[in-house]
Amino acid sequence: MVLLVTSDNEQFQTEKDIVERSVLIKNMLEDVGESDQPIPLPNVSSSVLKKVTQPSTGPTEIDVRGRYLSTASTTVESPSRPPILEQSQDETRKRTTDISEWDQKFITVDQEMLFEIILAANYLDIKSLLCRRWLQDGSQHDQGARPPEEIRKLFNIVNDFTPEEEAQIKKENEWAEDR
Amino acid sequence: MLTRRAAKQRNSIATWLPNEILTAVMSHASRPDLVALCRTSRLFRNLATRLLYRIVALQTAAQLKAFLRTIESKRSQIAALRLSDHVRRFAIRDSKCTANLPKRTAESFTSVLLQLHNLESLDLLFNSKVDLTETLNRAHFKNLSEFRYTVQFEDHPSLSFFLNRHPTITRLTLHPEFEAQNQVSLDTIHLPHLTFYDGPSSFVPFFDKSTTSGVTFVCILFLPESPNRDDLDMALMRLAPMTALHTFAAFTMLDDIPESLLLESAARNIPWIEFAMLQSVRHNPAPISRADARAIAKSLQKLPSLRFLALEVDGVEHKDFETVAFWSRACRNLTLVTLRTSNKLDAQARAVDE
Repeated sequence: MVLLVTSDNEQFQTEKDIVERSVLIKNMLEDVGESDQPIPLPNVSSSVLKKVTQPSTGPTEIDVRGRYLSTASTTVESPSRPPILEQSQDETRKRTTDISEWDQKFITVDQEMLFEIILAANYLDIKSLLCRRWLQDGSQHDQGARPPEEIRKLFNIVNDFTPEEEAQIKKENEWAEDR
Repeated sequence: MLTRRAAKQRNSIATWLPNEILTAVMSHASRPDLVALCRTSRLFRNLATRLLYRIVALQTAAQLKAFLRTIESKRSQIAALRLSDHVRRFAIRDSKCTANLPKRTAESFTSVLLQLHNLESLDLLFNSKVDLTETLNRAHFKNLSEFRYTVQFEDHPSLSFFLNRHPTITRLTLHPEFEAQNQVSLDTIHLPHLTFYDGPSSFVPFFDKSTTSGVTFVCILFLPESPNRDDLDMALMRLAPMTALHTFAAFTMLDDIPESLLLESAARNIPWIEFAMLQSVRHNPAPISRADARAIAKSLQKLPSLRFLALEVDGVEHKDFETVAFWSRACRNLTLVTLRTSNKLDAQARAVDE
Protein backbone atom coordinates (compact mmCIF):
# COMPACT_ATOMS: atom_id res chain seq x y z
CA MET A 1 0.00 0.00 0.00
CA VAL A 2 1.11 3.53 -0.77
CA LEU A 3 -0.01 6.65 1.03
CA LEU A 4 -0.87 9.64 -1.15
CA VAL A 5 -1.65 13.18 0.03
CA THR A 6 -3.67 15.46 -2.23
CA SER A 7 -3.62 19.25 -2.59
CA ASP A 8 -6.53 19.57 -0.14
CA ASN A 9 -4.62 17.50 2.44
CA GLU A 10 -6.67 14.34 2.20
CA GLN A 11 -4.83 11.06 2.62
CA PHE A 12 -5.35 8.04 0.40
CA GLN A 13 -4.27 4.45 0.97
CA THR A 14 -3.84 3.03 -2.52
CA GLU A 15 -2.56 -0.29 -3.82
CA LYS A 16 0.88 -0.20 -5.31
CA ASP A 17 0.01 -1.76 -8.66
CA ILE A 18 -2.70 0.86 -9.17
CA VAL A 19 -0.57 3.89 -8.43
CA GLU A 20 2.32 2.54 -10.46
CA ARG A 21 0.32 3.15 -13.60
CA SER A 22 1.32 6.72 -13.00
CA VAL A 23 4.81 7.09 -14.36
CA LEU A 24 5.41 10.02 -12.00
CA ILE A 25 4.58 8.00 -8.87
CA LYS A 26 6.37 4.91 -10.15
CA ASN A 27 9.57 6.89 -10.63
CA MET A 28 9.13 8.47 -7.24
CA LEU A 29 8.72 5.09 -5.56
CA GLU A 30 11.79 3.80 -7.33
CA ASP A 31 13.84 6.78 -6.22
CA VAL A 32 12.68 6.76 -2.62
CA GLY A 33 12.36 3.02 -2.14
CA GLU A 34 10.04 1.34 0.36
CA SER A 35 8.85 3.96 2.81
CA ASP A 36 5.89 4.80 5.02
CA GLN A 37 6.19 8.46 4.17
CA PRO A 38 3.16 9.84 2.31
CA ILE A 39 3.68 11.03 -1.25
CA PRO A 40 2.49 14.60 -1.76
CA LEU A 41 0.57 15.42 -4.93
CA PRO A 42 0.23 19.20 -4.83
CA ASN A 43 -1.40 19.41 -8.25
CA VAL A 44 -4.20 16.91 -7.67
CA SER A 45 -7.30 17.39 -5.56
CA SER A 46 -8.97 14.57 -3.64
CA SER A 47 -12.07 14.51 -5.84
CA VAL A 48 -9.95 14.05 -8.95
CA LEU A 49 -7.66 11.45 -7.40
CA LYS A 50 -10.68 9.41 -6.37
CA LYS A 51 -11.89 9.47 -9.89
CA VAL A 52 -8.56 8.54 -11.35
CA THR A 53 -7.50 5.75 -9.02
CA GLN A 54 -10.24 4.06 -7.10
CA PRO A 55 -11.31 0.64 -8.30
CA SER A 56 -14.98 0.22 -8.95
CA THR A 57 -16.45 -3.05 -7.82
CA GLY A 58 -20.11 -2.69 -8.59
CA PRO A 59 -23.09 -0.42 -9.15
CA THR A 60 -22.91 1.02 -5.63
CA GLU A 61 -19.46 2.34 -6.29
CA ILE A 62 -20.68 4.03 -9.41
CA ASP A 63 -23.42 5.65 -7.40
CA VAL A 64 -20.89 7.04 -4.97
CA ARG A 65 -18.99 8.50 -7.87
CA GLY A 66 -22.26 9.63 -9.32
CA ARG A 67 -21.90 13.00 -7.69
CA TYR A 68 -19.18 13.80 -10.18
CA LEU A 69 -21.22 12.69 -13.11
CA SER A 70 -23.66 14.96 -14.79
CA THR A 71 -25.86 12.04 -15.77
CA ALA A 72 -25.57 9.64 -12.86
CA SER A 73 -27.87 6.83 -13.84
CA THR A 74 -28.71 4.08 -11.40
CA THR A 75 -27.91 0.68 -12.87
CA VAL A 76 -24.54 0.38 -14.46
CA GLU A 77 -22.82 -2.86 -15.33
CA SER A 78 -19.32 -1.87 -14.37
CA PRO A 79 -16.01 -3.59 -14.91
CA SER A 80 -14.07 -4.16 -11.72
CA ARG A 81 -10.97 -2.38 -12.94
CA PRO A 82 -10.49 1.35 -12.71
CA PRO A 83 -9.33 3.10 -15.86
CA ILE A 84 -5.90 3.63 -14.41
CA LEU A 85 -5.31 -0.15 -14.40
CA GLU A 86 -6.14 -0.73 -18.00
CA GLN A 87 -3.32 -1.65 -20.31
CA SER A 88 -2.80 0.95 -22.96
CA GLN A 89 -3.76 -0.78 -26.14
CA ASP A 90 -3.14 -0.20 -29.78
CA GLU A 91 -4.99 3.06 -29.74
CA THR A 92 -5.50 3.37 -33.46
CA ARG A 93 -7.47 0.16 -33.64
CA LYS A 94 -9.74 0.97 -30.76
CA ARG A 95 -13.23 1.68 -31.93
CA THR A 96 -16.44 3.06 -30.53
CA THR A 97 -17.74 -0.41 -29.80
CA ASP A 98 -14.87 -1.18 -27.44
CA ILE A 99 -15.90 1.48 -24.98
CA SER A 100 -17.63 -0.06 -22.01
CA GLU A 101 -20.60 1.48 -20.33
CA TRP A 102 -18.46 2.29 -17.35
CA ASP A 103 -16.10 4.24 -19.57
CA GLN A 104 -18.97 6.08 -21.06
CA LYS A 105 -20.20 7.11 -17.63
CA PHE A 106 -16.67 8.02 -16.72
CA ILE A 107 -16.39 10.43 -19.60
CA THR A 108 -19.83 11.88 -19.08
CA VAL A 109 -18.60 14.55 -16.72
CA ASP A 110 -18.95 18.28 -16.97
CA GLN A 111 -16.21 20.14 -18.76
CA GLU A 112 -14.63 21.56 -15.64
CA MET A 113 -14.17 18.10 -14.13
CA LEU A 114 -12.84 17.00 -17.48
CA PHE A 115 -10.16 19.72 -17.37
CA GLU A 116 -9.17 18.61 -13.90
CA ILE A 117 -8.91 14.96 -14.91
CA ILE A 118 -6.82 15.75 -17.95
CA LEU A 119 -4.55 17.99 -15.92
CA ALA A 120 -4.15 15.27 -13.30
CA ALA A 121 -3.50 12.59 -15.89
CA ASN A 122 -0.93 14.80 -17.55
CA TYR A 123 0.77 15.60 -14.23
CA LEU A 124 0.75 12.01 -13.00
CA ASP A 125 1.75 10.82 -16.48
CA ILE A 126 -1.01 8.23 -16.96
CA LYS A 127 -1.14 7.42 -20.63
CA SER A 128 -4.13 5.11 -20.61
CA LEU A 129 -6.26 7.75 -18.98
CA LEU A 130 -5.14 10.54 -21.27
CA CYS A 131 -6.14 8.47 -24.25
CA ARG A 132 -9.58 7.80 -22.89
CA ARG A 133 -12.21 9.05 -25.17
CA TRP A 134 -13.85 12.07 -23.62
CA LEU A 135 -15.44 12.94 -26.86
CA GLN A 136 -18.84 11.48 -26.19
CA ASP A 137 -20.04 8.49 -28.07
CA GLY A 138 -22.12 9.45 -31.06
CA SER A 139 -24.42 6.45 -30.77
CA GLN A 140 -27.10 8.59 -29.18
CA HIS A 141 -27.52 10.12 -32.61
CA ASP A 142 -29.51 8.06 -35.05
CA GLN A 143 -27.15 8.89 -37.88
CA GLY A 144 -24.19 7.51 -36.00
CA ALA A 145 -21.90 10.52 -35.82
CA ARG A 146 -22.25 13.73 -33.90
CA PRO A 147 -22.71 16.50 -36.46
CA PRO A 148 -19.84 19.04 -36.80
CA GLU A 149 -22.03 21.90 -35.55
CA GLU A 150 -22.55 20.07 -32.29
CA ILE A 151 -18.87 19.30 -31.84
CA ARG A 152 -18.15 22.99 -32.29
CA LYS A 153 -20.76 23.91 -29.72
CA LEU A 154 -19.57 21.31 -27.24
CA PHE A 155 -15.95 22.44 -27.31
CA ASN A 156 -16.55 26.06 -28.14
CA ILE A 157 -14.72 25.90 -31.45
CA VAL A 158 -15.00 28.59 -34.11
CA ASN A 159 -15.75 27.43 -37.62
CA ASP A 160 -12.81 28.86 -39.56
CA PHE A 161 -13.65 27.27 -42.91
CA THR A 162 -14.80 29.19 -45.94
CA PRO A 163 -17.98 27.78 -47.51
CA GLU A 164 -15.89 26.55 -50.48
CA GLU A 165 -13.52 24.72 -48.17
CA GLU A 166 -16.42 23.13 -46.36
CA ALA A 167 -17.90 21.85 -49.60
CA GLN A 168 -14.52 20.62 -50.76
CA ILE A 169 -13.84 18.67 -47.55
CA LYS A 170 -17.26 17.06 -47.69
CA LYS A 171 -16.55 15.91 -51.22
CA GLU A 172 -13.03 14.75 -50.41
CA ASN A 173 -14.21 12.44 -47.63
CA GLU A 174 -17.28 11.16 -49.40
CA TRP A 175 -15.79 7.66 -49.67
CA ALA A 176 -15.90 7.37 -45.89
CA GLU A 177 -19.59 8.16 -45.57
CA ASP A 178 -21.54 5.01 -44.79
CA ARG A 179 -24.25 4.49 -47.26
CA MET B 1 3.35 21.45 -19.26
CA LEU B 2 -0.34 22.05 -18.76
CA THR B 3 -1.36 24.38 -15.99
CA ARG B 4 -4.66 25.17 -14.41
CA ARG B 5 -4.17 28.83 -15.22
CA ALA B 6 -3.75 28.13 -18.91
CA ALA B 7 -6.93 26.12 -18.88
CA LYS B 8 -8.91 28.88 -17.24
CA GLN B 9 -7.59 31.62 -19.47
CA ARG B 10 -8.99 30.12 -22.60
CA ASN B 11 -12.49 28.82 -22.65
CA SER B 12 -12.27 26.10 -25.27
CA ILE B 13 -10.72 22.77 -24.36
CA ALA B 14 -9.63 22.35 -27.95
CA THR B 15 -7.46 25.46 -27.99
CA TRP B 16 -5.20 24.68 -25.08
CA LEU B 17 -4.83 20.93 -25.31
CA PRO B 18 -1.61 19.89 -27.06
CA ASN B 19 -2.13 18.38 -30.52
CA GLU B 20 -0.68 15.06 -29.41
CA ILE B 21 -3.44 14.68 -26.84
CA LEU B 22 -6.16 15.73 -29.28
CA THR B 23 -4.82 13.15 -31.71
CA ALA B 24 -4.72 10.48 -29.01
CA VAL B 25 -8.33 11.23 -28.17
CA MET B 26 -9.41 11.24 -31.79
CA SER B 27 -7.78 7.88 -32.35
CA HIS B 28 -10.70 6.41 -30.40
CA ALA B 29 -13.27 7.95 -32.70
CA SER B 30 -15.26 5.91 -35.18
CA ARG B 31 -15.13 6.59 -38.89
CA PRO B 32 -18.35 8.70 -38.96
CA ASP B 33 -16.99 10.70 -36.02
CA LEU B 34 -13.73 11.33 -37.84
CA VAL B 35 -15.61 12.51 -40.92
CA ALA B 36 -17.48 14.98 -38.70
CA LEU B 37 -14.29 16.08 -36.94
CA CYS B 38 -12.70 16.85 -40.32
CA ARG B 39 -15.53 19.30 -40.96
CA THR B 40 -15.32 21.03 -37.58
CA SER B 41 -12.37 23.40 -37.89
CA ARG B 42 -9.01 23.70 -39.63
CA LEU B 43 -7.09 22.44 -36.61
CA PHE B 44 -9.38 19.46 -36.11
CA ARG B 45 -9.27 18.72 -39.81
CA ASN B 46 -5.48 18.59 -39.85
CA LEU B 47 -5.47 16.14 -36.98
CA ALA B 48 -8.46 13.96 -37.96
CA THR B 49 -7.63 13.58 -41.66
CA ARG B 50 -4.47 11.67 -40.84
CA LEU B 51 -6.47 9.20 -38.74
CA LEU B 52 -9.38 8.93 -41.16
CA TYR B 53 -7.08 7.89 -44.01
CA ARG B 54 -5.12 5.36 -41.95
CA ILE B 55 -7.66 2.62 -42.57
CA VAL B 56 -9.47 2.57 -45.89
CA ALA B 57 -12.02 -0.25 -46.09
CA LEU B 58 -14.42 -0.05 -49.00
CA GLN B 59 -17.78 -1.78 -49.38
CA THR B 60 -19.34 -0.44 -52.55
CA ALA B 61 -18.28 0.58 -56.05
CA ALA B 62 -19.51 4.10 -55.27
CA GLN B 63 -17.15 4.31 -52.29
CA LEU B 64 -14.28 3.02 -54.39
CA LYS B 65 -14.94 5.58 -57.11
CA ALA B 66 -15.16 8.39 -54.53
CA PHE B 67 -11.88 7.30 -52.98
CA LEU B 68 -10.10 7.13 -56.35
CA ARG B 69 -11.42 10.57 -57.25
CA THR B 70 -10.09 12.03 -53.98
CA ILE B 71 -6.62 10.52 -54.32
CA GLU B 72 -6.34 11.51 -57.97
CA SER B 73 -7.64 15.06 -57.51
CA LYS B 74 -5.15 17.81 -58.32
CA ARG B 75 -5.33 19.23 -54.82
CA SER B 76 -4.40 15.97 -53.21
CA GLN B 77 -1.44 15.54 -55.56
CA ILE B 78 0.21 18.91 -54.77
CA ALA B 79 -0.40 18.96 -51.01
CA ALA B 80 2.79 18.82 -48.96
CA LEU B 81 1.77 15.54 -47.42
CA ARG B 82 -0.48 13.68 -49.78
CA LEU B 83 -3.58 11.89 -48.54
CA SER B 84 -2.32 8.64 -50.08
CA ASP B 85 0.69 8.77 -47.73
CA HIS B 86 -1.57 8.39 -44.68
CA VAL B 87 -3.04 5.05 -45.77
CA ARG B 88 -1.72 2.13 -43.68
CA ARG B 89 -4.46 -0.43 -44.29
CA PHE B 90 -6.40 -0.81 -47.50
CA ALA B 91 -9.17 -3.37 -47.94
CA ILE B 92 -11.82 -4.24 -50.47
CA ARG B 93 -14.61 -5.61 -48.30
CA ASP B 94 -17.08 -6.78 -50.93
CA SER B 95 -16.79 -8.40 -54.35
CA LYS B 96 -19.39 -5.93 -55.66
CA CYS B 97 -16.79 -3.21 -55.15
CA THR B 98 -14.70 -4.14 -58.18
CA ALA B 99 -17.22 -6.09 -60.27
CA ASN B 100 -18.07 -4.60 -63.67
CA LEU B 101 -15.87 -1.56 -63.28
CA PRO B 102 -15.52 0.59 -66.40
CA LYS B 103 -12.06 0.28 -67.95
CA ARG B 104 -10.99 3.76 -66.88
CA THR B 105 -11.97 3.19 -63.24
CA ALA B 106 -10.14 -0.13 -63.20
CA GLU B 107 -7.03 1.62 -64.53
CA SER B 108 -7.23 4.34 -61.95
CA PHE B 109 -7.71 1.67 -59.25
CA THR B 110 -4.45 -0.04 -60.22
CA SER B 111 -2.55 3.23 -60.38
CA VAL B 112 -3.89 4.56 -57.06
CA LEU B 113 -2.84 1.34 -55.32
CA LEU B 114 0.72 2.06 -56.43
CA GLN B 115 0.61 5.43 -54.70
CA LEU B 116 -0.15 4.01 -51.25
CA HIS B 117 3.55 3.82 -50.32
CA ASN B 118 3.08 3.39 -46.59
CA LEU B 119 0.71 0.42 -46.70
CA GLU B 120 1.11 -2.11 -43.91
CA SER B 121 -1.87 -4.26 -44.81
CA LEU B 122 -3.33 -4.83 -48.25
CA ASP B 123 -6.51 -6.91 -48.54
CA LEU B 124 -7.62 -7.68 -52.08
CA LEU B 125 -9.24 -11.02 -51.32
CA PHE B 126 -12.60 -9.84 -52.59
CA ASN B 127 -11.26 -8.66 -55.89
CA SER B 128 -11.41 -11.29 -58.60
CA LYS B 129 -12.52 -9.07 -61.44
CA VAL B 130 -9.86 -6.42 -61.90
CA ASP B 131 -6.60 -7.71 -63.34
CA LEU B 132 -3.87 -6.54 -60.96
CA THR B 133 -0.89 -8.09 -62.75
CA GLU B 134 0.47 -4.64 -63.52
CA THR B 135 0.17 -3.54 -59.89
CA LEU B 136 1.92 -6.70 -58.69
CA ASN B 137 4.73 -6.07 -61.15
CA ARG B 138 5.34 -2.47 -60.17
CA ALA B 139 4.31 -2.09 -56.53
CA HIS B 140 6.74 -1.64 -53.70
CA PHE B 141 5.35 -1.13 -50.20
CA LYS B 142 8.34 -0.97 -47.91
CA ASN B 143 6.41 -1.73 -44.69
CA LEU B 144 3.91 -4.28 -45.94
CA SER B 145 3.27 -6.96 -43.33
CA GLU B 146 -0.08 -8.43 -44.36
CA PHE B 147 -1.17 -9.40 -47.85
CA ARG B 148 -4.50 -11.00 -48.79
CA TYR B 149 -5.08 -11.83 -52.42
CA THR B 150 -7.22 -13.92 -54.74
CA VAL B 151 -4.90 -15.58 -57.20
CA GLN B 152 -5.84 -15.57 -60.82
CA PHE B 153 -4.38 -18.18 -63.08
CA GLU B 154 -2.51 -15.81 -65.35
CA ASP B 155 -0.74 -13.75 -62.68
CA HIS B 156 1.50 -16.48 -61.23
CA PRO B 157 4.86 -15.00 -62.31
CA SER B 158 3.87 -11.54 -61.10
CA LEU B 159 2.76 -12.96 -57.77
CA SER B 160 6.12 -14.59 -57.00
CA PHE B 161 7.84 -11.43 -58.17
CA PHE B 162 5.65 -9.30 -55.89
CA LEU B 163 6.08 -11.53 -52.82
CA ASN B 164 9.85 -11.71 -53.21
CA ARG B 165 10.02 -7.93 -53.35
CA HIS B 166 8.20 -7.71 -50.00
CA PRO B 167 10.25 -9.69 -47.46
CA THR B 168 8.54 -7.76 -44.64
CA ILE B 169 5.35 -9.84 -45.06
CA THR B 170 4.42 -11.78 -41.92
CA ARG B 171 0.82 -12.75 -42.73
CA LEU B 172 -0.13 -14.15 -46.11
CA THR B 173 -3.56 -15.19 -47.35
CA LEU B 174 -3.86 -16.56 -50.89
CA HIS B 175 -7.08 -17.94 -52.25
CA PRO B 176 -7.19 -19.64 -55.62
CA GLU B 177 -9.72 -18.50 -58.15
CA PHE B 178 -8.73 -20.91 -60.90
CA GLU B 179 -10.11 -24.39 -61.41
CA ALA B 180 -7.20 -26.77 -61.82
CA GLN B 181 -5.11 -26.51 -58.67
CA ASN B 182 -2.40 -28.89 -59.81
CA GLN B 183 -1.20 -26.57 -62.52
CA VAL B 184 0.27 -24.05 -60.10
CA SER B 185 3.77 -23.01 -60.93
CA LEU B 186 5.36 -20.22 -58.94
CA ASP B 187 8.98 -19.20 -58.60
CA THR B 188 10.59 -19.99 -55.28
CA ILE B 189 9.18 -17.64 -52.65
CA HIS B 190 11.40 -16.18 -49.97
CA LEU B 191 9.54 -14.57 -47.06
CA PRO B 192 11.85 -14.87 -44.03
CA HIS B 193 9.38 -13.28 -41.58
CA LEU B 194 6.29 -15.27 -42.50
CA THR B 195 4.38 -16.58 -39.47
CA PHE B 196 0.85 -16.98 -40.78
CA TYR B 197 -0.26 -18.69 -43.97
CA ASP B 198 -3.84 -19.17 -45.11
CA GLY B 199 -4.27 -20.76 -48.51
CA PRO B 200 -4.05 -23.93 -50.56
CA SER B 201 -1.38 -26.47 -49.71
CA SER B 202 -0.36 -26.59 -53.37
CA PHE B 203 1.53 -23.28 -52.91
CA VAL B 204 3.58 -24.49 -49.95
CA PRO B 205 6.21 -26.39 -52.03
CA PHE B 206 7.20 -23.07 -53.59
CA PHE B 207 8.13 -21.56 -50.23
CA ASP B 208 11.84 -21.87 -49.49
CA LYS B 209 13.20 -23.26 -46.23
CA SER B 210 13.51 -19.93 -44.43
CA THR B 211 9.87 -19.17 -45.28
CA THR B 212 8.34 -22.43 -44.07
CA SER B 213 10.43 -22.79 -40.95
CA GLY B 214 8.99 -19.65 -39.31
CA VAL B 215 5.32 -20.39 -39.93
CA THR B 216 3.42 -20.96 -36.69
CA PHE B 217 -0.16 -20.78 -37.93
CA VAL B 218 -1.47 -22.44 -41.04
CA CYS B 219 -4.98 -22.66 -42.44
CA ILE B 220 -5.43 -25.04 -45.35
CA LEU B 221 -8.43 -25.02 -47.61
CA PHE B 222 -9.50 -28.32 -49.20
CA LEU B 223 -11.52 -27.78 -52.32
CA PRO B 224 -13.75 -30.29 -54.09
CA GLU B 225 -10.97 -30.79 -56.66
CA SER B 226 -8.88 -32.81 -54.24
CA PRO B 227 -11.27 -35.52 -53.20
CA ASN B 228 -9.38 -38.65 -52.36
CA ARG B 229 -7.43 -39.71 -49.38
CA ASP B 230 -4.05 -39.75 -51.12
CA ASP B 231 -4.47 -36.12 -52.11
CA LEU B 232 -5.27 -35.31 -48.51
CA ASP B 233 -2.16 -36.99 -47.22
CA MET B 234 -0.11 -35.32 -49.96
CA ALA B 235 -1.46 -31.92 -48.90
CA LEU B 236 -0.41 -32.42 -45.31
CA MET B 237 2.94 -33.89 -46.32
CA ARG B 238 3.72 -30.50 -47.84
CA LEU B 239 3.35 -28.92 -44.38
CA ALA B 240 6.03 -31.16 -42.85
CA PRO B 241 8.82 -28.56 -43.34
CA MET B 242 6.88 -26.19 -41.06
CA THR B 243 8.76 -27.24 -37.96
CA ALA B 244 7.60 -24.30 -35.84
CA LEU B 245 3.94 -24.97 -36.58
CA HIS B 246 1.78 -24.34 -33.58
CA THR B 247 -1.76 -24.16 -34.95
CA PHE B 248 -3.20 -26.25 -37.76
CA ALA B 249 -6.56 -25.20 -39.11
CA ALA B 250 -8.26 -27.01 -41.96
CA PHE B 251 -11.28 -25.86 -43.83
CA THR B 252 -12.91 -28.39 -46.13
CA MET B 253 -15.58 -27.88 -48.71
CA LEU B 254 -16.02 -31.60 -49.26
CA ASP B 255 -18.76 -33.93 -48.24
CA ASP B 256 -16.58 -36.85 -47.42
CA ILE B 257 -13.37 -36.02 -45.57
CA PRO B 258 -13.83 -37.54 -42.16
CA GLU B 259 -12.01 -35.68 -39.41
CA SER B 260 -10.34 -38.91 -38.39
CA LEU B 261 -8.52 -39.03 -41.75
CA LEU B 262 -7.30 -35.45 -41.42
CA LEU B 263 -6.02 -36.05 -37.90
CA GLU B 264 -4.36 -39.31 -38.92
CA SER B 265 -2.50 -37.48 -41.66
CA ALA B 266 -1.60 -34.62 -39.31
CA ALA B 267 -0.20 -37.10 -36.78
CA ARG B 268 2.02 -38.55 -39.49
CA ASN B 269 3.25 -35.26 -40.98
CA ILE B 270 3.07 -32.50 -38.37
CA PRO B 271 2.95 -34.29 -34.99
CA TRP B 272 4.30 -31.23 -33.11
CA ILE B 273 1.14 -29.10 -33.40
CA GLU B 274 -0.58 -27.79 -30.27
CA PHE B 275 -3.88 -26.60 -31.71
CA ALA B 276 -6.01 -28.31 -34.33
CA MET B 277 -9.19 -26.80 -35.73
CA LEU B 278 -11.08 -28.75 -38.36
CA GLN B 279 -14.03 -27.10 -39.97
CA SER B 280 -16.17 -28.14 -42.90
CA VAL B 281 -19.07 -26.70 -44.82
CA ARG B 282 -20.76 -30.02 -45.38
CA HIS B 283 -24.38 -30.25 -46.35
CA ASN B 284 -24.98 -33.24 -44.17
CA PRO B 285 -22.53 -33.35 -41.29
CA ALA B 286 -22.60 -36.73 -39.66
CA PRO B 287 -22.42 -37.45 -35.96
CA ILE B 288 -19.15 -39.03 -34.84
CA SER B 289 -19.44 -42.77 -35.18
CA ARG B 290 -17.82 -45.17 -32.75
CA ALA B 291 -15.31 -46.21 -35.38
CA ASP B 292 -14.43 -42.55 -36.04
CA ALA B 293 -14.06 -41.85 -32.34
CA ARG B 294 -11.66 -44.78 -32.00
CA ALA B 295 -9.68 -43.72 -35.08
CA ILE B 296 -9.39 -40.17 -33.72
CA ALA B 297 -8.20 -41.48 -30.36
CA LYS B 298 -5.52 -43.48 -32.15
CA SER B 299 -4.29 -40.36 -33.97
CA LEU B 300 -4.38 -38.34 -30.75
CA GLN B 301 -1.89 -40.78 -29.22
CA LYS B 302 0.56 -39.71 -31.90
CA LEU B 303 -0.01 -35.98 -31.30
CA PRO B 304 1.73 -35.62 -27.92
CA SER B 305 1.77 -31.80 -27.87
CA LEU B 306 -1.87 -31.29 -28.76
CA ARG B 307 -3.67 -29.12 -26.23
CA PHE B 308 -6.75 -27.96 -28.08
CA LEU B 309 -9.01 -29.70 -30.58
CA ALA B 310 -12.03 -28.19 -32.31
CA LEU B 311 -14.32 -30.26 -34.51
CA GLU B 312 -17.53 -29.64 -36.33
CA VAL B 313 -20.08 -32.37 -35.80
CA ASP B 314 -23.77 -32.93 -36.14
CA GLY B 315 -25.48 -32.32 -32.83
CA VAL B 316 -23.87 -32.71 -29.46
CA GLU B 317 -25.35 -35.72 -27.80
CA HIS B 318 -24.72 -37.21 -24.44
CA LYS B 319 -22.47 -39.89 -25.82
CA ASP B 320 -20.23 -37.20 -27.34
CA PHE B 321 -19.17 -36.15 -23.86
CA GLU B 322 -18.11 -39.72 -23.15
CA THR B 323 -16.20 -39.62 -26.42
CA VAL B 324 -14.39 -36.46 -25.36
CA ALA B 325 -13.42 -38.06 -22.07
CA PHE B 326 -12.17 -41.06 -24.02
CA TRP B 327 -10.02 -38.78 -26.20
CA SER B 328 -8.55 -36.87 -23.30
CA ARG B 329 -7.27 -40.19 -21.92
CA ALA B 330 -5.59 -40.87 -25.27
CA CYS B 331 -3.72 -37.56 -25.35
CA ARG B 332 -1.87 -36.44 -22.24
CA ASN B 333 -1.80 -32.69 -22.92
CA LEU B 334 -5.27 -32.32 -24.39
CA THR B 335 -7.13 -29.89 -22.16
CA LEU B 336 -9.87 -28.49 -24.34
CA VAL B 337 -12.13 -30.06 -26.95
CA THR B 338 -14.75 -28.01 -28.74
CA LEU B 339 -17.49 -29.68 -30.72
CA ARG B 340 -19.12 -27.05 -32.82
CA THR B 341 -22.64 -27.45 -34.00
CA SER B 342 -25.55 -25.31 -35.01
CA ASN B 343 -28.25 -24.78 -32.41
CA LYS B 344 -30.87 -26.21 -34.64
CA LEU B 345 -29.09 -29.53 -34.92
CA ASP B 346 -28.47 -29.49 -31.21
CA ALA B 347 -32.17 -29.11 -30.54
CA GLN B 348 -32.99 -31.93 -32.91
CA ALA B 349 -30.59 -34.25 -31.18
CA ARG B 350 -32.24 -33.50 -27.87
CA ALA B 351 -35.68 -34.08 -29.25
CA VAL B 352 -34.64 -37.52 -30.43
CA ASP B 353 -33.30 -38.33 -26.96
CA GLU B 354 -36.58 -37.49 -25.30
